[in-house]
Amino acid sequence: MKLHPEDPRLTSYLLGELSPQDAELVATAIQDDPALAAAIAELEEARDSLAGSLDLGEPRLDREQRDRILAAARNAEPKASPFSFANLKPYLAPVAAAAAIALVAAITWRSLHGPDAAIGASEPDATEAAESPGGEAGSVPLPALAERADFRKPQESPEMAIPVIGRQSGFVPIAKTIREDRKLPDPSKVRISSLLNSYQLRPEGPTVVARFPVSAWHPDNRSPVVTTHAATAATEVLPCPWKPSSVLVVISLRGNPSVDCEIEARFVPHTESVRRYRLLENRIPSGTATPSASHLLRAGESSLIALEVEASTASGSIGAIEWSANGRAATAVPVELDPSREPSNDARFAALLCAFGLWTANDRDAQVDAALVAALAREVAAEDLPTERTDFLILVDQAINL
Amino acid sequence: MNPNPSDESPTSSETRERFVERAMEEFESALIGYAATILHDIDLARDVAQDTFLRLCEQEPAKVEKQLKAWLFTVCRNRAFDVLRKQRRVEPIDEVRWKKVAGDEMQPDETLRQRERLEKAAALLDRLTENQREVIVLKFQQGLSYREISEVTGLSTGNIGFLIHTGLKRMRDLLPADI
Repeated sequence: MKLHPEDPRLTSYLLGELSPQDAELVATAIQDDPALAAAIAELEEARDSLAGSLDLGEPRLDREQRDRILAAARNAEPKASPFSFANLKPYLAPVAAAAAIALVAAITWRSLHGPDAAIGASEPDATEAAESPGGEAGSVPLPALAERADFRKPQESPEMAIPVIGRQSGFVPIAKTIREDRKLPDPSKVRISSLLNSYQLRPEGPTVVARFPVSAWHPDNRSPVVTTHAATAATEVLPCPWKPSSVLVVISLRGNPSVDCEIEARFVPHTESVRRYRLLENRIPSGTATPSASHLLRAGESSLIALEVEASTASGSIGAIEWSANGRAATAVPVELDPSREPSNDARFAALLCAFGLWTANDRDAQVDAALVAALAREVAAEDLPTERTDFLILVDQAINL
Repeated sequence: MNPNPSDESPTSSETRERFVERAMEEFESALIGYAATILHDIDLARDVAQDTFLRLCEQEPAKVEKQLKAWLFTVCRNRAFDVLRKQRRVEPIDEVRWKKVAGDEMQPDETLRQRERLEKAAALLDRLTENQREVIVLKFQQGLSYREISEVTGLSTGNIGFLIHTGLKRMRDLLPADI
């Protein structure tokens, strides 16, 4: 191995950050080259001096601060405990019981009249409740269930349809509310999918191109079957900023620049490596019509969605995107965890958009706070950031400071 | 009905308290030192470390124990930058940090020594870019690995290696005059 004295691997070697194989190669190179040996000696001296000059001694918390923390630890209640009548204040029990009766009635109504039957304003919650395991009256997990129902377990939901969304302008009304009305947007008006599709973002993970046959003959193709690009599907997995045990899966569908395409896609999680998953989207308020899923990807447009996946493995495959373009099955796109892979700038920006959407919607599962949104915004900030993304960072800053 | 929620599961409550106490014993100084290099203010750094441990009290020990170090540094970092951002809105940060570093009252000996150390470290770190400063502190003050720094900052390990290398070279050029 031939190294230049300015090579960063010398520092990594000095700090013990190289693999054993690389460290051996660098050690040999240093032995053979006096210039490298001199460079390492200088770096070593700088390291020792720096460590000493950054030593701040052993600063400690005040006694009051320590007592406050330990008292908080003593009194901390377990978070997100399942709802139980036993935990209710006595005067709330009748209200909860009435709610339980209403829920059971709604479930019964649905079972008798089918999933499309209208049940008034409580339909979304009732739908979610019906998908969950039931229990006896004393432990029906009403509120907790409503909060968590958008998570799915692979054993119960072995696949999830991926909506085709297309170009959106979700940023515009949100920016208007924050900048002109000087208030945070109504949580029910924020759509994560709309935010994601307000920007051109491309995942940099596994990518598959679907082609379809065309009748026109092409001089470059002597095959009797001439094909053209129909659509591209790509995925990228990155750590979930608000939940260390989860990952974000960013999924992109891009169409042909000049021809519309019908896309049907679904996420198929591996039951052995996924505990639960959900489409990142803000909950549609009760009584609002649910937008129908579209399959049409307009020419030149793309569609981006993000999933939050709680995986039980640190690396390897957690599922696949199975999809078809214009009725022809395409090769599935693998969804893989690779801890050594760094997220792309586009994926990081997508994570910021998701976090911002969850924060404005007060999503209880994510528990995203302003500090996290600010930290993510700082991560994506760069001098060469496109103007529209810089504008979003400014908007985030304005929103946090309202 | 039990009026005291902590009595519902005394064992888990006791475990949580012990867990937090152990975390404090191990990481208290490190977090204060780390926050101090961001804020240049030892008192604010204590507040940030306190907030970090208060956040830890809300977590399930089993869920954070495996990556406790990275979790604590990440929360501490976010909180410190949050405080820094709020300070910037009030007055220019350089005025704040140097006013706080220098102090305008007589301090007990140990506090004074800490302030002097912090002042010296701050003057040195100011010669670096923001990214270099952050990774240099996490590596050389806190002893985190590249991977742990990556978890805390979100930067790639390759980028961290480059930043540390260039930061160390910059320090190599500056240190003889500063130390």
